[in-house]
Amino acid sequence: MIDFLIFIAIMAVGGIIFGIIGYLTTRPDPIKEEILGYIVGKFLDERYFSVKKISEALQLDRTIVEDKLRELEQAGVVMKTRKGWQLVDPLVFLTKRDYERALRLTRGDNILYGAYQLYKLTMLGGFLLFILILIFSAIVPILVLIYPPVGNFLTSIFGVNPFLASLFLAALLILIADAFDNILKYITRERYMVVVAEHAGILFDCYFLDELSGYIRRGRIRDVEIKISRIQYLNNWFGDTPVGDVIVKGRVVKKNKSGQIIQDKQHVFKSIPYPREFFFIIQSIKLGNLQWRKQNAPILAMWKAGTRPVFPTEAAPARRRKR
Amino acid sequence: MEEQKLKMQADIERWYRPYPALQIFFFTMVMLFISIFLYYITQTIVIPLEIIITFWFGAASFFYPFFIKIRRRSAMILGWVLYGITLFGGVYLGYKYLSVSIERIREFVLFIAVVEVIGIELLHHIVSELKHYRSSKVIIADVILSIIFGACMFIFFYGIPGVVSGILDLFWSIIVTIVLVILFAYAIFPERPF
Repeated sequence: MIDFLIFIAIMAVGGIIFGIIGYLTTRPDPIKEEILGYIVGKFLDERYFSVKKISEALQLDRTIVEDKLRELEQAGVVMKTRKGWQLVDPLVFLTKRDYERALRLTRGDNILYGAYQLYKLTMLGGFLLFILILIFSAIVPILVLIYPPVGNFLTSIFGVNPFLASLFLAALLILIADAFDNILKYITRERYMVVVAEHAGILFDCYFLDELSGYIRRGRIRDVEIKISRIQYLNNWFGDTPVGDVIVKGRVVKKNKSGQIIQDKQHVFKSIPYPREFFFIIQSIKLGNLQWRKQNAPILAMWKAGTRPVFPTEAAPARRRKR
Repeated sequence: MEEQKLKMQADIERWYRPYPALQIFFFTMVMLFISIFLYYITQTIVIPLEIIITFWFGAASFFYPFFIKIRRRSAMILGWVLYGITLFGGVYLGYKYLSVSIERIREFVLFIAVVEVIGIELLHHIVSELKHYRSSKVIIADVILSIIFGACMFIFFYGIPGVVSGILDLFWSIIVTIVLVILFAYAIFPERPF
């Protein structure tokens, strides 16, 4: 009984310690929010800003501003470049290297959306492989518990407690699954980049190590459509990043002997992160009206910065008592 | 600012995720199913209550990030609490049932390595922002953890001359340790955010 109480006490101590860590790390950061609000409000079009300007405007110490900017850089909301600090559009989900590449290839155009098509999230084979690895990593320790010959076999190989050996195997499988996930992410980054720029239109990678050779010009975009498959729905409910397919229909002008022929052609962007926002951005550049982006930029920037990701619940309106 | 935050929650998260009540319902159903499963297991095999409780919390901390997508502070703190309970419970069980002690050095180092791997992977799973958080402190911590993991693996495979012998010779112990340390470091070092 005392053993059990000690066990409960130890678990409670663990919960309390990590609860305090969680409490401290999720504290709202009003200074960061203030800085972010100011940057997005003032530099959305201008883009470049200096620490000096912000510290003067908000009357904050320069080192504090620099620290907060570094934290915002981690979230991908701002970026330190050779010219100084730069505001990155909140719907740009690219690495620093790829963002700079996109800026170079669009000749410094205003990049409104940038992401990688997350094929791997909707690949049935990859998904099943992950599930298999997970199941296998859980099965080995269970087998050791309920079927002793497996335990004996592991002891003969490793020379330690069979259950500990099975946990070691499970840990190795988890590491392999993580490494596999990292490799898939690398391939995705090198192969499936999509960028929407204000003037250039939609640019995308067509093959491995491509330099955004595929494009749909802004004026040629005819229609945009979102489609979310069942696997994508599952991913959106249980996965980290929501995705969906976005179909962009465009006009292609071909010249032949009898003159110009205009054909409709469609391109399917598969498993685009935040497809609804991608849709809005394409509609905006198609119509040449960036009002949606301007209206939502502060909101999106705060969401992306996760300033530190606390979203208070809306207080329910007080009920009026019937008289 | 408060108003913007509320709009943000409604505009972005809610379009893709199930309603918070539905998320909680799914999570509750899964945990209920696991509880029933554990109850039936205990009817057929005698398993100490401590193991059952730790397994339950382990399952809760594994499934919690899959089902609960509510980006509220309380939900995040609860994730941390589940992690702490699982980690401390697991270490206690290891100490008690796996006879882990410094005298049995090979088992001791293997246990440290397993706790390191499962502990870090579970933490990355529950607090996914930590996977991408890159700072000098995080990198130093990761290097130290990798060195500890490497030392544990080497002692486990090769042993300590004059004290305990391992299962591999010096050459293969070094090779296997290097491969495992690379795998470990690749898994725990901060990833690119996208």
